[in-house]
Amino acid sequence: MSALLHANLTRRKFLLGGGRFLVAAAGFPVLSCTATPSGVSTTVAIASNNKFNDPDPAVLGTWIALDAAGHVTVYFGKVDVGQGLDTAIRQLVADQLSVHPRRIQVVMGDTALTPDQGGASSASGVEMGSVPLMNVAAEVKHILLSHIAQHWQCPLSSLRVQDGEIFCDTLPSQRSSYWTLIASDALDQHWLAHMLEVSGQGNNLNVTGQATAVPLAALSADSWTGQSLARDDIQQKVTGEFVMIDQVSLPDMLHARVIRPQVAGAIPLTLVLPDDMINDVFIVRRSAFAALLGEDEWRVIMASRALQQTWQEPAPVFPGNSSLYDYLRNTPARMQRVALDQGAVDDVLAGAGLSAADLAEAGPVLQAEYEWPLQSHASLGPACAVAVWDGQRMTVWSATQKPHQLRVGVADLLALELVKVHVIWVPGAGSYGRNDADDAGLEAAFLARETGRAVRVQYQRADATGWDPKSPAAVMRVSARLLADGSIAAMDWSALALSAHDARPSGAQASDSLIGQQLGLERPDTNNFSAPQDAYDLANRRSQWAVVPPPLRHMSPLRTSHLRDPQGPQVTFSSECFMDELAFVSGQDPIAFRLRHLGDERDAQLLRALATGSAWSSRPSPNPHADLRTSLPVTYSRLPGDNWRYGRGVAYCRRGRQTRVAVVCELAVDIQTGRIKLLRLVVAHDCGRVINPDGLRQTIEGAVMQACSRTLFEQVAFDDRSVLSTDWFSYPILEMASAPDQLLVLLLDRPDMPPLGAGEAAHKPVAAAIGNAVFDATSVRIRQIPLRPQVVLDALNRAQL
Amino acid sequence: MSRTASSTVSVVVDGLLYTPEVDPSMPLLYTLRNTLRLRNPRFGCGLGQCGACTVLVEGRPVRSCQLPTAAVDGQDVVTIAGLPARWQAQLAKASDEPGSTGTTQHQSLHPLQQAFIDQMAAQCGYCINGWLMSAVALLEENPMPDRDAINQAFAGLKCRCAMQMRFRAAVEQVAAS
Ligand code: FES
Ligand code: FES
Repeated sequence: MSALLHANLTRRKFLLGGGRFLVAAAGFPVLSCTATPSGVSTTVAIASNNKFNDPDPAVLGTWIALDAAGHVTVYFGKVDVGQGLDTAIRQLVADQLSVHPRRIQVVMGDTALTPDQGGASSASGVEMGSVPLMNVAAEVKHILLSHIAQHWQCPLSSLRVQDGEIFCDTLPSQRSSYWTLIASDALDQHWLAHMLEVSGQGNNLNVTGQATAVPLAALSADSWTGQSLARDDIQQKVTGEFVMIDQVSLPDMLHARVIRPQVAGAIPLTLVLPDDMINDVFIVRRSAFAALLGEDEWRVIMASRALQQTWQEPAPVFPGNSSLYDYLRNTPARMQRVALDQGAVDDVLAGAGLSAADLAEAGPVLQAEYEWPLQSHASLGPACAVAVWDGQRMTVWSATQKPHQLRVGVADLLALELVKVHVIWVPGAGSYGRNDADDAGLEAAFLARETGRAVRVQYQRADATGWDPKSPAAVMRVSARLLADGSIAAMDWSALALSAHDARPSGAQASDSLIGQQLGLERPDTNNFSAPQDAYDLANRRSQWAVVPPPLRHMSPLRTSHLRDPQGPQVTFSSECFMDELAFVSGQDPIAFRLRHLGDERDAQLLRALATGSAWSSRPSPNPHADLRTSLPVTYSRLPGDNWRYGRGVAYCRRGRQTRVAVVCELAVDIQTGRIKLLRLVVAHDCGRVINPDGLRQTIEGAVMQACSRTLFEQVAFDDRSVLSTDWFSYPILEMASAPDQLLVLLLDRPDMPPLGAGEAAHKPVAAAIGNAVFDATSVRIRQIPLRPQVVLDALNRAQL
Repeated sequence: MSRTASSTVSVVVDGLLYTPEVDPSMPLLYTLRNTLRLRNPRFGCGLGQCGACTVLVEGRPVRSCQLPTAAVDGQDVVTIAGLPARWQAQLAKASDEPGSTGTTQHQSLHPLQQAFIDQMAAQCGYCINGWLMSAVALLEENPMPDRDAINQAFAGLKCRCAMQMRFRAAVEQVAAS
């Protein structure tokens, strides 16, 4: 193992360098990523966790270590994908332990060091992931204080801790600290071997000891929780100190380039390198999987371009993206699920039991269909992974969101015992669900074992955009009947969709990966989708979805998986645009219309706060003065040309267990070109207790802006045999010039509540708010994403006919 | 078999002179990362479409994935790690100029690096080279850019975490000071 310690990272980085890398004194763990508070410049001893066995959540020392120099290390079984999760964790732990967060470093996502908490998943990092860590911190404080209380002969309740210094109210002359205690021999040396009660697993994993964590609501006003503690990683990122997956390099490492077919589902027949390359590059080929490897990365890339290849191509299987929605409508669904069914939806839609006035005045049943395309994960960096096989053990460095699950997948693919696989998470380009990272990790592990060398897999752009898991396409239909008073009598929502995940959200099953399928593994069918989440209190309401089988079952570049708030944007686009359509036909203000149907005061407060915070003027859509930029509450600078129409739109939803979010979008549409100019987005966000307001704002902003990108630009293009979106030209995303003039985030803090998920909620309602604003501006309803200029223009032209 | 001919290229990166022997047609990105082991410039697309590989060459932001290494022979290259030194040199030069009030301020970071920190202008940070280097080059040329100028300087850059508003705010923060 010692060779690995010389991995091409400078010694400075190992030893100082902000301490991002820990070195284990001996044994299994090699390099681990840590989030380190500035000011702590030394590494922290992790000897107690340095072992081959899996970290046992029942042992206190699995979760936390303290040293005599005043450092605290917590071992966190989740990872930060760029939103500063570790900073929030430091704040929460600091309050339970009564130390400055500067002392705390967070080790994340190392299967030999951190308990399995499910990895990054479902915006659960703070909401669920922090719970055991807070309990552990409270337990440590309790153990240390109990020791002191016994020693000083004073009641436990008379002890106070300030940044690790211990005082006694009744014995003012006595003084100690956590660090002095640890330095002394006073403590039982096995105090960290203390056992805890374990419950749940994965995201729900929790531990409890004798002490109980202080409820957040009971924390004092000067607690770290609720403060905008700065993230240390930003400084490291702008100076180049921050180590990411693409920088991990081992001695004698081979660079690998995987070979993907041009035609989906094709199997390589012959792969021949030009003569002048065979000394530098070689081919590893097993079944349908093939890769080129060599010492020199550029040489391997050149070889991949020069490779002569013939493929056995299957008959074309894809509908082509222009026929995608017909494919969804016409292919027999594989599975249907009713997510919600209350009242008598069919009867009421048919008019049964309604008064003559209701039937006459409210008019017929309203119905609309919405279409959402396949979208690519398109992380900024194509996936990269490094693996080494020492004949006994496989070590994989990966930016996977779920290292513990990837470990299971590697063991599965290579038929290894789980204890022989070690996965070390290293931060990579932002991921927002399952991107291509797990595929790369599995391929690196496979190639490392095949070659007996350290192997680095670096995907190219086309491997990433062209082959990463896609967010599923859907056709969603909504029907409703209004009563004469403008309220909803019944609503029926249904979706025909590709499954939420052909590749399940974790990498735990090799059969879900490209390489697994190339090697002949059969993946099981997975059937999942979502339904609207909101607090509309409707007596008669049904929501159901049906999953349509994918056009290609294995080795498909259109395979689906989770991309940020999986299916939320799709579903909410349909449900919240439809709410707007109902408000329009009944001449009601869109916020007032929503409020009258909301059955929960928290949701209603959110919408009212949004209306106030965005200076919403109550009126029905469309905007009667759409040609006046002054018809919006903020007067924006003049846009060039006279063809702009101004409008505003709103959308609201819930996410997961408890988070609520609503957004107003103000925009202008150029009716000559179809171009949309975003002017202002205002977000109202209630995710319970706010841990770090600035960090939360930034997280929300990223979720909102990425949703703008998906709404305005993103669609995977494909023909009957290949994905055509393979780079940033063929898969455009939002750029600077398309960003709004302003983005305002209103946080509704709920100090009496626990913190709730925040990484995804704000992603969800944005498409609907934009779609509703386009209608407000142009009187034209567009029920299709993305709202690229041509789509908008076509819709405007159609409306004029 | 024949290996591609290598030749010696002489290039200053972040103030240090390097004379690697490389395939002169190999993109600068690979020379920096693999030969010189300066791994801050990142591989994002290899196609000139994202900016993750951006460095300053003679003060101009350049996509190092598109530039043959031979093209920087005898030139000055700066990565984000070299920004503090670049700023110090500019301060020193300014204070030498007649009539200048000079400054004795010791700043370890470039003001744009500080502004990125102040504005929390990064999530994963994988894209940071493109935004930071383009911002540096923009402000060196135009200290008071309007939004059109900012849009132009940032054209083509990608950020999948969608931090565009914050990159713009960082530029505006420095421009305003
Ligand atoms: S990596 Fe050079 S522009 Fe994308
Ligand atoms: S911060 Fe993640 S891609 Fe820009």
